[in-house]
Amino acid sequence: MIRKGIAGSLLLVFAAIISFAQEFTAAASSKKIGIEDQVRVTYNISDMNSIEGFERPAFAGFVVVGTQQSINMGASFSLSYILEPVKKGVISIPPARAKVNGKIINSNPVSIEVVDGSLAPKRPAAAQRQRTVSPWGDDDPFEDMNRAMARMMEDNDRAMEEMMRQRQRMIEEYMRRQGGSPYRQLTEEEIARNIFIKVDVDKTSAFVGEQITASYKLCTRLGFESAMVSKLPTLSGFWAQDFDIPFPPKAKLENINGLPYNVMLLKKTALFPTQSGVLELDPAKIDCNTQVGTLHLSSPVVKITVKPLPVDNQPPGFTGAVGNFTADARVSRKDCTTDDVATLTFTISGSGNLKLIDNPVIDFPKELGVYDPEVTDTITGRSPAITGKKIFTYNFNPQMPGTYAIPPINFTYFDANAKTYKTVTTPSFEINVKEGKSYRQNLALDKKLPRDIHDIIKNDQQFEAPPGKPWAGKAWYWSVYSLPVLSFIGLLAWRKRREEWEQNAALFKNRKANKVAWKRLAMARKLLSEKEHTQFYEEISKAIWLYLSDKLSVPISELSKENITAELSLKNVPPEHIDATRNLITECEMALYSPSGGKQQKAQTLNEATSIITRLEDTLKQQS
Amino acid sequence: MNSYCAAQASSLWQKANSYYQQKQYDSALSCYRQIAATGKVNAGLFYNTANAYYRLNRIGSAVLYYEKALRLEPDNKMIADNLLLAKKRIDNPVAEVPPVFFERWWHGLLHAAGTNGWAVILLTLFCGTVALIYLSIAGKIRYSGRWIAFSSSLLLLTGLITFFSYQDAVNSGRAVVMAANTSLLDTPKPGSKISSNIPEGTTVKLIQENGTYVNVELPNGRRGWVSSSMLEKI
Repeated sequence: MIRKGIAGSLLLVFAAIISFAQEFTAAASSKKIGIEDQVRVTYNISDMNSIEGFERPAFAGFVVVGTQQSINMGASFSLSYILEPVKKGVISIPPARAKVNGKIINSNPVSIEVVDGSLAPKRPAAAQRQRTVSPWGDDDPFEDMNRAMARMMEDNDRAMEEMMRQRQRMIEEYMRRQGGSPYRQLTEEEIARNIFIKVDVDKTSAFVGEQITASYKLCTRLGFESAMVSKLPTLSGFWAQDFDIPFPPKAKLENINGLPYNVMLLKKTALFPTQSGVLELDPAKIDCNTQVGTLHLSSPVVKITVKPLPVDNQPPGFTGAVGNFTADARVSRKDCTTDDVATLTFTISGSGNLKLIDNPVIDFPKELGVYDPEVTDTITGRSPAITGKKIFTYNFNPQMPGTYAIPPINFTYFDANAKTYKTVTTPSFEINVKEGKSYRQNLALDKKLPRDIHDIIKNDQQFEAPPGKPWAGKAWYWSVYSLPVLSFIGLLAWRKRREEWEQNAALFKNRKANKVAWKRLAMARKLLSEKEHTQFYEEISKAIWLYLSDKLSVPISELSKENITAELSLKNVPPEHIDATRNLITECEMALYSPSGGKQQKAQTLNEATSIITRLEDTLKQQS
Repeated sequence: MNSYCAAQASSLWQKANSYYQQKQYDSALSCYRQIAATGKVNAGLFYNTANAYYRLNRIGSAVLYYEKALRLEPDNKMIADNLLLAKKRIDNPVAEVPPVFFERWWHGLLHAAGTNGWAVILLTLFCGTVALIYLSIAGKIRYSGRWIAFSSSLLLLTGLITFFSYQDAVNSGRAVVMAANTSLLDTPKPGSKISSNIPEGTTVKLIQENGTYVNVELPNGRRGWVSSSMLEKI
């Protein structure tokens, strides 16, 4: 057991578990090797607890130069043999046998082709040396130790010497305290010096958001069977992004304080402080089964001073990005309808605290109906700094037709190396929105409503009695309508009269004739009592002539005693009236030239004239 | 006397607004009501009154006063916005059937020239038609029959628009439900079957009045009778 412990494998498999089905497999590290190379054949049993026995095959054609066993944290168990070929050709390794749960199971056979020379990178012939040194031959219990020492020698001769001395000491101690457990006597100080967890950080002072790379390493000078991480550091106050570390972990030789150690990387992490102040990297804890018993190892606490970002010249819109970035924005379409959903993609790429970058402040027009962004982070590279992309995808569904501008996005980050803020500006976009099929104006208006009611009106107001009835309800308005109606009627009447007058001017005169005649006769009546003999007959004569002229529509100059008869008979005046008229005219003519006759005769003539005009009037009126 | 009243109204206005700013909406409201009691009002007064009601969460009154303000200033966007916001606070609102496009056109037409504007247009058209008739009688124009037919139909249309515009101006024909869960009755009788409940703040169209009951049409087109005491005319 102890021998096994001393010869124990240095291989550790951390936290990760590879679970195998219950099976027993064999695998060679290489199918084709050179005669000068080594090959590793590994036997793997998935359930260690059920193994009751294991029988390795005869490695005919090979020399076993080392064995390694490892127990994964689950239950799988693997046993490796490091072989060196002794002859060329295709060498078949028969299956190994194991007793599991009382049954014998076989692994698969492995065949390896051995050719001339070496296919592996050139290495010093350490193995050769080791083989010659080894006094135990194939079953040397110190085989692995020797191999490890041999590898260390490749790097450092002093390490070899130290290892040899240590080995010598351990063997001496073993010899002295045979039957007991010699390593329990090692002081704690000695143990702590020989196995511990080391934390390396690339800087102990950083800005908030600046990357710090921390490595947790297990450093040991003791052999052990297994190790288990019992507690990983929580790293509170940081955003941590783990580096990929080789799996299974490989031991490397490192000089620490002048002593060679087998060093295994447990965890390598990029740390981005999220707050300022003195932050602590809390310890990682490992339970180790070593030859000195189970050890509980704990890493030291490392303090990091985190400086806050300068506030003085911090541009507005800074969203916490620290590192070195570029930014880009794209829209999926610039012309769309209210039915469509378009996308604005804002991408930040570069190295830094990608995950800690807040959403950018983008002043989208409200009408575009922008949804909350979908954010994706992708880390594309890890060394030396965390690089990748952060993509903000804004979907928007325009609410109202129109042309809207998405303003440029100013992305500001803090360059920790230059200790200044830097701003990247993306172009602006213009989105043309057309009315879609399902466009509803009311719905769109609803979306445009403010959150709260508009404030009250505060400026001075002129209060008025509420407006009364509109004009249409008032009497004066309707009375205005009578104006056109009345003027229409008036115009019509005026027009009618004018028409009559124009079309029948004679009738007009005719009507006037009677009046004129009567005036003349009235004048004559006045003259009756006076001595104005001539004037009297003149008036009567004029009355008759003018009357006839107007009535017959014949100018007075064209009238004569002769044509009067014809004209009057044309108007169907009875002949006795025509005769009476003619007699009266003759009488008047006679009287004008022979001024005889007294008052009595004059009165008779007047009566005669009156009666004639009356009778003519009656007749002529009937016709018109 | 008049200027004294105006000065008093102005000081009340300032006082009410400062109460409002101090979030003393009750006091602000009482001042606004005092101004309104003088009989001299304007859209701003109704608007502020409505805001105070809104702040007091009296949605029925808020809707009523926004509607009143909107009647005086139909194109005021602030009033329209606040009215919509007030309506959004109605519990279980009656679904509003959006007006059909020609209803919107018709209302736009009624408001396009204003009631008095339409009255003037009507008068002018009337004069024109009369003149046309005269000219046609006088035989001074050709195709007078066509012209008169055209002018008369225009006159008739304008007459209709003026009539409805006047109707609209004199009587909004609408009322706001002032009490929560007002019953919509099947018949205008006490104890009638309740067909549904109308939330406070719903604007209804008045169809017919029958004593203490009013036949109304809800925004979703449903009709029924409501006790007139539950309504306030806009």
